[in-house]
Amino acid sequence: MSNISKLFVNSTKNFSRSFSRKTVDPSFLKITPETKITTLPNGIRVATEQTYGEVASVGVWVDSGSVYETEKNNGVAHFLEHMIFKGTAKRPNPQSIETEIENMGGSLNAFTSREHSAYYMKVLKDNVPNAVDILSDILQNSKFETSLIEQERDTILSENDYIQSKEDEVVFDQLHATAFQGSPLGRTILGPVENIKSITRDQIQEFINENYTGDRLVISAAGAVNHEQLVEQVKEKFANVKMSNVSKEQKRSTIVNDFVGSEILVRDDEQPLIHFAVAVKALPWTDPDYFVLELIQTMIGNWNRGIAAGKNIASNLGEIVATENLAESYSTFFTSYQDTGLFGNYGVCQPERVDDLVAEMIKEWQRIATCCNKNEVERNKQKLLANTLMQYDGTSKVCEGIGRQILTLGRRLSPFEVYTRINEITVADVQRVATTLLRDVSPAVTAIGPLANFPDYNFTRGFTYWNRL
Amino acid sequence: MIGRFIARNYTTSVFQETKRVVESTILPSGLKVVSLVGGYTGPAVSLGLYIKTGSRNETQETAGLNQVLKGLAFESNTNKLGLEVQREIESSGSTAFVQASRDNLLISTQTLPNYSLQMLKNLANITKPTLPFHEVRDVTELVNQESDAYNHDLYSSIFESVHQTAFRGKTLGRPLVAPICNLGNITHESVINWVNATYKPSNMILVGVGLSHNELIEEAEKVSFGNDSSSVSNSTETAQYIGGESLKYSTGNTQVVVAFEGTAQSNVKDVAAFSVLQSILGNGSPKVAPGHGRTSRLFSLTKNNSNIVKSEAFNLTYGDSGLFGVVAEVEGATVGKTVSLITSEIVAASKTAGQELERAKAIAKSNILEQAEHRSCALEFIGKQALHADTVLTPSEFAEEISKVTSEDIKRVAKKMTSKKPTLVVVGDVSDAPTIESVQSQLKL
Repeated sequence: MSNISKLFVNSTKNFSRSFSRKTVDPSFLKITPETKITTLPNGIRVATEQTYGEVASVGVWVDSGSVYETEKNNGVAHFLEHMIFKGTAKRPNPQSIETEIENMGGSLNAFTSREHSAYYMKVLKDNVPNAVDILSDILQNSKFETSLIEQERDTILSENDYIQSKEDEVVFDQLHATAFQGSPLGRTILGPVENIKSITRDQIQEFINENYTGDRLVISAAGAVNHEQLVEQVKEKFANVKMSNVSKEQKRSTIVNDFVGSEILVRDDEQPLIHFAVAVKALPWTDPDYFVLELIQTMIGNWNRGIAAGKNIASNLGEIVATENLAESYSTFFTSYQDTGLFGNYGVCQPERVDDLVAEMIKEWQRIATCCNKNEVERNKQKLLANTLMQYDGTSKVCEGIGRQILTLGRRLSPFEVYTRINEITVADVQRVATTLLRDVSPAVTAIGPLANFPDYNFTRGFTYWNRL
Repeated sequence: MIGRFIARNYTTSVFQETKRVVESTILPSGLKVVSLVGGYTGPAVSLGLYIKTGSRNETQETAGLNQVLKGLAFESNTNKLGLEVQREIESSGSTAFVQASRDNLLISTQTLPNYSLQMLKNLANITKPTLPFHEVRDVTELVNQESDAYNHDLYSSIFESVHQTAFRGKTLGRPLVAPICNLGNITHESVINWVNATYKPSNMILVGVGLSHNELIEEAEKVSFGNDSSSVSNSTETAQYIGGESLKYSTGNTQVVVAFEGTAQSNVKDVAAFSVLQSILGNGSPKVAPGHGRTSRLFSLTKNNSNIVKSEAFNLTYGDSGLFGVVAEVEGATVGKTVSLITSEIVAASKTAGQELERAKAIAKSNILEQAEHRSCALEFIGKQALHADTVLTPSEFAEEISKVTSEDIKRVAKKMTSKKPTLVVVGDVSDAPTIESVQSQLKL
């Protein structure tokens, strides 16, 4: 591995990219676009990264989602997201919105998660003001016509059927239901069928009034966009958005999500494979150890039958699973929320392999907590760094990253900060965080499929002790 | 601890606009190096290698060999064992994938700049495989499973039929998915012979996105790609579009494809016109988001005909030919009705003008520009042009070509494509499939 000192340097001086492997000089990370953030009087934060080019992504990110719902209106945040494209006073029906967007070659999309709703557009650079106009119009002036609400119920019900047919979606909904039982995070995003069938216009209107307030909106943009101009446009177009009279922190402090070690098993012997998840309580977005846990996630890794590396995969668990033929696939997940999180393994396997697979997964957690070595930590740091930095690809991903980070952290992580924070992690950090979160804990377990051979809860719990290995 | 992070200075240097340009050089070895430089590609870079070998060059005896080559890409080479190749890519956090097409093999990678030289060497190494017997044997076994999966994939088998019918089993009509029945005939020796004949620098294109072109050619000259000395070469027969029909009985919903000869990649004007025609016809999937065809002809066609589940226009370009058409999924014995609906949309689309044309142009333009924002898509965008044409356009330059498309151009390409015999593929309830003559008679432009 010699002779890697000289590397490519981009012809423009600004893009100097030359450094050796041994002494990693992150100078190339300093030549990234600056994030400009402006807070408007009504609390809306406007954040941009100008990278020029021909295309701009503009999005509205809302601190909303199913966590702000109650048992009674569960599903309304998602229902609202569907209804927001259905017409305003100025743009009377869905077709008028769609035609306007397609006439300028733009696109519009949206999603709702447990903590966020997002509405984002991609347009050619001259059309940024039009995009702001459309977004502001649908978010402030949607009519929510009752006839269209009735029509939309069928669409959402068929979306629900689709989700119910996806094993991973079912397992993760079940996992939230058991791990956060009795808490808002335990509910699903779409809501129960009876709610989808009964949500009213008033509930939708009430939810938007209460949650789409200035302090909980972030308008982010990336690409061919000028910050000052965007701020002016947002100021003018989003002028009717009110600041909430309850602060965001106050509002959120009343929502408590308690993690409960527990299990939900749904046995179905008709299915050929078991799909399961084993999870522990993890870290919220703002935790200083966030990247340490991401590193642990990288170390445990993912594997599936299609992976090019096959048995040669570097991850310890991956190699065991591949050589022992334990699974069809497995992945390691880490989901953060504002006050809690979930970390664990998801697996798909033959029914007769499931006990070994669960045991190997939790054994790997204990191995990392007690005796992972410097070599593998350093190797996985490089991998995590590359994976994270490669996410800065294309304006939509950048725009999404800005929106999400400002909502969750209140600021934007620059590539250089990502580099620094990952680079600083030591073996001791990894062992400390793994010991705290993954050792001697009662996990949340859920599974579907032919579960006759699925390990008993106490067996799974017992593997989180070193002395049981 | 968090406070410590905030207090630190993470500010960035002044970031300036740089225009994206394509630079291209042919090295003394014959290797073509093409770079897309300028613009913002994020903190990572892309590096890829195209090798001009594909299923179109195969023969009856070697059918499926290129899919075996695909599987062998990250196996042992003269410098490293397969294990080392795979581990090195993984532990540097880089990503690499290999894709076998009808006329090329692409190895596309993404990496942080500090590993770009190593990745360049990896790519060079990949072109010098040692091909030990056991690796070829094991990969052939994997290809067997892969083909089995492809054969069960509806879309992949439909497009196999479309190509086979359109080019009547020759050149672009050869099977892309390795035929399982022939895998046993692909010998270790035939793989070695194939590699010797095709892995030559003059048969390859190295593509960089986000790297300095001068540095790239300087470093690329220091490593050797493939087998320079080989005098054997595989001939490439020119693709000839013929057209025709293929009917296959199956249960469930029926898949229908009406296709025509499209355009070769080298004809930029026609590529632009066809991409606008594709936007005019658009996408008739009920779940399509605003911006991806909700105002298109096929969207309203699908919405207004309950027997049509979904429909979409496609536009495939190759070095010397192409395929343009519509694929639809229908319920019941409604193929005849659906085909006439599709042909009348094509006839109507050929007369598009005014706002509808401008909208289709805007959508086609932003599709290209949006895709090209992503490093690996940008790599394929310029790589594909470099494979088949002498001039390579940047995404913005190609968007300009789309702006120049007129209603006359649309009429011209539509007329040209419908003047030849169409290709009709039906899988499902074939009982009311129209004859190819009746389809052709519906297409008088």
